[in-house]
Amino acid sequence: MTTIEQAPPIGRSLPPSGAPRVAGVARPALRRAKDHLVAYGLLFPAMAVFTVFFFIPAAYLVYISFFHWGVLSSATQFVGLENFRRLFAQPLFFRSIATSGYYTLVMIPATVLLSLGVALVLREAVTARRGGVWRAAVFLPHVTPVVATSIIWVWIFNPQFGLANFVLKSVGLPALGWLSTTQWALPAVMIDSLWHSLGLYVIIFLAGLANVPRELVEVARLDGAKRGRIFRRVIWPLLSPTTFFVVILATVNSWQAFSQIYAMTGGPHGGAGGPAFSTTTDALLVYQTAFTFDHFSLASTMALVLFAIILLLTLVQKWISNKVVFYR
Amino acid sequence: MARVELHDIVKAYGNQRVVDGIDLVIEEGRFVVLLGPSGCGKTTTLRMIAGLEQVTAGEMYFDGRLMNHEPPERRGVGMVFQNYALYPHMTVADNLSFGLESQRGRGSRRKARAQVRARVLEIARLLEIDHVLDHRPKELSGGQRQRAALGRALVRDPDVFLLDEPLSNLDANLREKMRMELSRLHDELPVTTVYVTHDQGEALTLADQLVVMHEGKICQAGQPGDVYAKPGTAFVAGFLGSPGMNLWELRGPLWGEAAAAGGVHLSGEAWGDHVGGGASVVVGIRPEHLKLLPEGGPWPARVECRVDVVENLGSHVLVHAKLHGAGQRSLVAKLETSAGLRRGDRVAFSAHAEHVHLFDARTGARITERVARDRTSVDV
Repeated sequence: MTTIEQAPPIGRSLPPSGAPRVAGVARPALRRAKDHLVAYGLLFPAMAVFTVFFFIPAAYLVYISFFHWGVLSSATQFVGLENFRRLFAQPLFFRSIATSGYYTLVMIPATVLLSLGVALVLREAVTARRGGVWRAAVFLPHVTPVVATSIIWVWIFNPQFGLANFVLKSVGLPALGWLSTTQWALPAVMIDSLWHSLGLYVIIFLAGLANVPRELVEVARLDGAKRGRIFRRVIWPLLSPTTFFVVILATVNSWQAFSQIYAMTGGPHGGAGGPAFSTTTDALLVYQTAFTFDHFSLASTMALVLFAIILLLTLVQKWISNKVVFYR
Repeated sequence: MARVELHDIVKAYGNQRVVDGIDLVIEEGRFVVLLGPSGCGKTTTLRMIAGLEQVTAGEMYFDGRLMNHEPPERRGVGMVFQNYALYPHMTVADNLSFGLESQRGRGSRRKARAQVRARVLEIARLLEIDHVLDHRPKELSGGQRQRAALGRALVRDPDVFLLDEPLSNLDANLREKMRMELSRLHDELPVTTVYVTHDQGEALTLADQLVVMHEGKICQAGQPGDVYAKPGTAFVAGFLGSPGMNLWELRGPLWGEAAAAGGVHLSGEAWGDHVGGGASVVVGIRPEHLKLLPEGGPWPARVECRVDVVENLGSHVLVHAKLHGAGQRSLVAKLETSAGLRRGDRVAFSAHAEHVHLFDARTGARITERVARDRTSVDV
């Protein structure tokens, strides 16, 4: 009589009868252990660098926020929340937060609009022969040292001989005091920052634009949509993840802005952060508190608060992004 | 509906001509299929009709109106792309209404909106996607996406409907179903349609008029049945059909009542009224026209060979065989499953005279009605 045997499920072979099961299990376990060893071995150098220069200092920063600690004094004294109390009693701290907030609030839209605009123009130029040259030209400022280019911008904003006032005067506008006035010092720094960072954001937007399928724009054209409508209804929504990334990056970079402020407002202009603390941002105040006034504990407390502010802003942006950002 | 005329259309990128002097007239309401292998210029031709590519030379008319420099939005065309190109961030309803809203004037906004909604619903019902109007494309099945793309192109009531390999992303079953749907749709909405594909099954079943393209040129245009039965060139003969026609070159000079070369024997009857004086020819016989016959017998065309592979496809078998004689000539025959052939069998196939096609070996063109009955032998 013919009998039909149940075939084993596809992809699973039965072990030969009598074969030791343990041997079959031990081999993959050994291989898995080997894989883990290789993976951790490859991760180790990066993890070591991060641990020494990032995790340990970050943890130590939290630790000394609760102590009275000096870089030259070995004695540490636990003070509880005293540093926080002192910090919140300082009007300059709140002013620095307001300055950082103002700087960030102007920089984010300016960065997004300018870099997106330049990216759109450059995308058209990509088909042209010199598209690559233009892209390189826009990116070039970003690879130059911030301090060096900021010094050049100090010359540009020189009230007597600077290029900025020359341009203003040549179009019939009054000359400005720029870095020597409380009203224009921060905008001058913003212009330098925008010029310096624009290339990075342009490249990010160009990558985002390259990911918008050409067919969608073609279909929209066939549908009779004009350029503005195509951008508003098709390109812009598909660029929302890129825009969100740029906004996050610009927020963090703006809130942490230091080098350009330090380089442009220091020296003959009455010490970094001047005039009259008009460019003293949070990051600059942290630096000055630690290295000028030797209050490392207080500076650490400030850095902790700065971290909390950036984290909060990022969480808010993330919450908003869940509603407006479209991920394909 | 529009009548589309292409006169000596050329598209060149630098020195490379991807479309090389196409002449084609598509009558109102016809369903024309551009068929050809990848890189033959069919999609470029379609994109030129849409206005997405500029014409390098030649003239293009819609209903007698010169279209060469008209932008895509003013041509009245609807297009379905290979990957559907649905706006991924919009619902199906928004995808369908986008075009209508883009064209809407500044009249009564509420009335216009109501009209748009009604039209979207009408098309959605026609395509049976009215239940997924508030879904986004990624929430749809392949077939529903396909219908949504069709709907978006049709909702604006285009004069010319363009489809660029619209079924190529679907699985075999769905493709067959959608093919029938497209045919039904064209019967209900007889818009002038240009359909690009490299799938001859789609081409033969859908087309009113079939246009076979190769290397930027039109090889042959006509009714699908005619193109299949009387291919104009050896390329068309080999490309059309699954599998394509068996083609063997017989080197000239060819004279006389019979010809034999490398296992292929043609009698005077097979030469028929076709071949003229002495040139090399390509002989073609479709796989389904080859019949398995015993040795001997006065057959118009006889091919001797040894069976290499037998593929059983359920409804029939495909026999791949090596021809006798010199070279690596091979043959494919489509036979009943009961043929009972095995690898290594020595067999002879035959075909009726009317199923023997002859092409000029140099130009590939079909040889017709040029008679010379003074042929005697074949030199291989």
